[in-house]
Amino acid sequence: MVDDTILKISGLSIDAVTTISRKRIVESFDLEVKRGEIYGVVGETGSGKSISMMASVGLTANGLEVSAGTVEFNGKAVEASRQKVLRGNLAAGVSLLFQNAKGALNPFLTVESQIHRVLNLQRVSKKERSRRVQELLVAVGLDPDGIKHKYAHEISGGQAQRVAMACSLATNPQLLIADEPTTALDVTTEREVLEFLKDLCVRRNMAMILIAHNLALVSENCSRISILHAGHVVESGDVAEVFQNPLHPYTQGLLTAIPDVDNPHELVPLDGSVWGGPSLVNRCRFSHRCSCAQDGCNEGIPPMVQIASNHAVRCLRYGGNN
Amino acid sequence: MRLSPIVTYILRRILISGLVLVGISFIAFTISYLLPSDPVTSRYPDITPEQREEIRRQMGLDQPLPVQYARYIQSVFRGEFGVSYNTGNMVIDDLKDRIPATLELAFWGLGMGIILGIPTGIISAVHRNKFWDNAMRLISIGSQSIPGFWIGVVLIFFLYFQWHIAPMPVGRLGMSFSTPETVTGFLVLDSILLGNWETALAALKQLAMPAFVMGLGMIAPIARITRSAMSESLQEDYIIFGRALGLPERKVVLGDAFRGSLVSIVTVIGFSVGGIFAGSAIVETVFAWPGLGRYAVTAITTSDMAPVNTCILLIATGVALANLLVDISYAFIDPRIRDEYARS
Amino acid sequence: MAELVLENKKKNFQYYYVKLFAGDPLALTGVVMLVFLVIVAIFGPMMVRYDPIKTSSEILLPPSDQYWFGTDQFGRDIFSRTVTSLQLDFSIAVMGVSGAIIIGMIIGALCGYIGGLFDDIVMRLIDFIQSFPMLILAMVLVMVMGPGVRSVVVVTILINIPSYARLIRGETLSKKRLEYIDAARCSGASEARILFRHLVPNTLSPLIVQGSMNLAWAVGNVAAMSFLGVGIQPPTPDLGLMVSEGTQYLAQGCWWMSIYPGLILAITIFCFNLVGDGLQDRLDPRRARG
Repeated sequence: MVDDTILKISGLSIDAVTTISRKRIVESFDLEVKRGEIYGVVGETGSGKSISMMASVGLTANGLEVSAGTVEFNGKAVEASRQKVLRGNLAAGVSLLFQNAKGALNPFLTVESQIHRVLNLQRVSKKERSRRVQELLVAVGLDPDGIKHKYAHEISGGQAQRVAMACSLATNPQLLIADEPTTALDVTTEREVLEFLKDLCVRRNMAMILIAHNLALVSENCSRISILHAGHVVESGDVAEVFQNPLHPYTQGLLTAIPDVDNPHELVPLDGSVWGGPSLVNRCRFSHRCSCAQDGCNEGIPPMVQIASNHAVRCLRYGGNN
Repeated sequence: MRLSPIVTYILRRILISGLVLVGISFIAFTISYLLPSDPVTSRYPDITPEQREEIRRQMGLDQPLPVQYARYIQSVFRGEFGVSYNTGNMVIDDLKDRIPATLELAFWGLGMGIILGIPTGIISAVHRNKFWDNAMRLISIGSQSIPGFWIGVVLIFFLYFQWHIAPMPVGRLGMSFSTPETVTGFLVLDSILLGNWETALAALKQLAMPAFVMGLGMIAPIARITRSAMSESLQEDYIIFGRALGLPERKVVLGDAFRGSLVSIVTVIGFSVGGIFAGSAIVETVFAWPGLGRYAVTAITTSDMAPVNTCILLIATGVALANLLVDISYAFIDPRIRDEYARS
Repeated sequence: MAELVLENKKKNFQYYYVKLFAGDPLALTGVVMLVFLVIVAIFGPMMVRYDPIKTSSEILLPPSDQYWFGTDQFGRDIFSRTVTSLQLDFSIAVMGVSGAIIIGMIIGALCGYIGGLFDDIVMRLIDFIQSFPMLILAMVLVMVMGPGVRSVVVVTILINIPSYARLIRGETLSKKRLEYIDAARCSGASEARILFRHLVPNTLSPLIVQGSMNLAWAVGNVAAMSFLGVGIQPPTPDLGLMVSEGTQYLAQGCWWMSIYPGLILAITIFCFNLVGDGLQDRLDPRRARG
């Protein structure tokens, strides 16, 4: 059963570094995803969800530096700071999907050439490659002959996302990290694409990490979820459990802010802003917005407390001393 | 007859360029008309005022400006570009040998600029704000700041006068060599084609210093644009996606990112064409290279109207041609631009 | 509340420029050296030992304690001539570039504001001037006007106008939409004043960058033209002229006549370029991917 886990991130910390300053953006990020499951990572813009996942595959952006943590993929554990090694996982089991699909595709190559290029890495004969291209395009629900020769700017957003998927699938991934794949799409297409992704995961026994800022979306599509605030994972667990019984004040605030047709209630916004508090080092990063903050909240990072087998939270109200 | 949209676009551009050139020719003519020192007196200093008037009448110099311009245009269409008072030849004949000479310099100079400039820019962009970037920037700013005429003199002094490495800067070929038969007009090429290795080597040696000085000024602009275009290109989403797909870094940088910066690079190369003419004026003067630049300088300083006109026209045409080629190349580089052209 | 914001803005402004240079060793070096050169240019000619124009019998002497850069064929001290020429070249470059900035800004603002056919024609003209080799253009114009300092200044102004016109035009175009609507309704102050007050701080940075590069070019151009005989005329000292005159004595081994003046010229241009390039790099929209 230990082999059930496909990806395990432990204690990942990332700093924003300039010539004159160093700011800890993400702190003690933990994540465990099992084979074939769909895991949601939720947070506001700037909460660190994209940064963390990119860092776990060796794609940390310029200006950011991994300062601690390990990433274990398929049983092999690597220090998170060894970005080059982590990048080796790409196309060897992990694939990515991005929000801006049209921008993600190479503007100078036809759809066909792009998928060819990815297949090329696997040393496959030319005939075999062409066959696989056809196969992949069909697999993502596109008409191969209609779209093969088009360029990125000639296709729609939804089509582009599917082409991107075809590219990602070409490497036969076991884990797909989808960074807000549908945020830029209209609601109908969004639903289509997500349904399609879920189906894909089932058919290929592929795990997927869905990064989003839309709680409703995540609740509908994921089995487990982590909620991020200002670089800290504040709550995690089974989706049903977390939604029915939100423990962290941030989660509670988020859920209260979701309009519900069946249960109309006043939408109460959260106080303050994500990064607005005083220095963020060594304290709970939500305390400056929290209505029930105590003194202890500012004296160290509250640890993650396992409330139940499928529910954990980072808040002093539930135990754990710094 | 329906032409492909790209062809239509090209034809339209050529038409507009043609009109622009007509305008330029008028301005050029007016300017050369306004040049001081009378061409007549500078050629024949000891003549009486009556004789001078007579000669001016014969040359048609007493006609009003528009008439002179009209006659000039007529001669242009006949393929005559006037006579140089300095050399006494038809300007066309003067240019026949000089243009290849300058082209040879331009080729090597621009080539050096591209071969050294682009890699410099790429290295700078990849290691932005770190040591190699600063080092490359220093080199490229340095090479741009060195005045061409000065470094030429410095090189001549040390390499020729002091250490006797370089040959005497007397032009395209040393005095002991005879010019090979003209095949292309490019001495090095011609000599090789005719199997005359010694002459080829000699021509190459003569070419070395002036081409180097030409190239020096070309490196910096190309390196700078490559650096900034590559930096921008490297931030694009498709680069990150390329990495995410597992493509090796070298392919992503040199293939995709570079392709993305190509439009800007080609643009700056097009702009450099103007710089070539300016550079040739100086380099050819320093190294006594018999090219277009030196010809133009001499004509300007002696108010020799016909060559000045023709040179300005020639330069304008060259610049317009370069811009046109650049615009056309965009269509081949970037499919998005290709479609834009087709739509308009 | 508004005062607080303004306070912060002003402080940030200065802090911003200091931080700009602090991170870039190249630009910093350039600025320091430039300041030094400017001081030399301003005060140097008053302090040099020898009259730069007066001839003497001490011809063609190599550099020594007495004549730091040696003497030329007329016995004139090359160092004194270099310093004097530095002042002249600087003045010409500064006058040329400032003139170009002022006129260019007016033209650019007009283009952006009026738009339409006027804008089209002027921009095409500017396009062409910019792509034409500036040296040739400069030479021809100077010859038409007669060689000498005045022509060189005028030509420098003319040739540099396009860069600034384009810059201001871009700013005007982007501001026109915003300011036009707001200003006309709210403040009642003349649109020209509002345009001006918002234009200047926004364009200050690219203006400095462009100005730096143009100064570098202007100084080099004056020297190049004088070298070719089309610019400053003897006996007025000019770095380019000195290099040109010195070439005739190279065979005799008198290297100091050409090499020193050119070296100073190269260093000057280098400093201007360092500052311009360093600034440009910092001011480019640096997008750090998150």
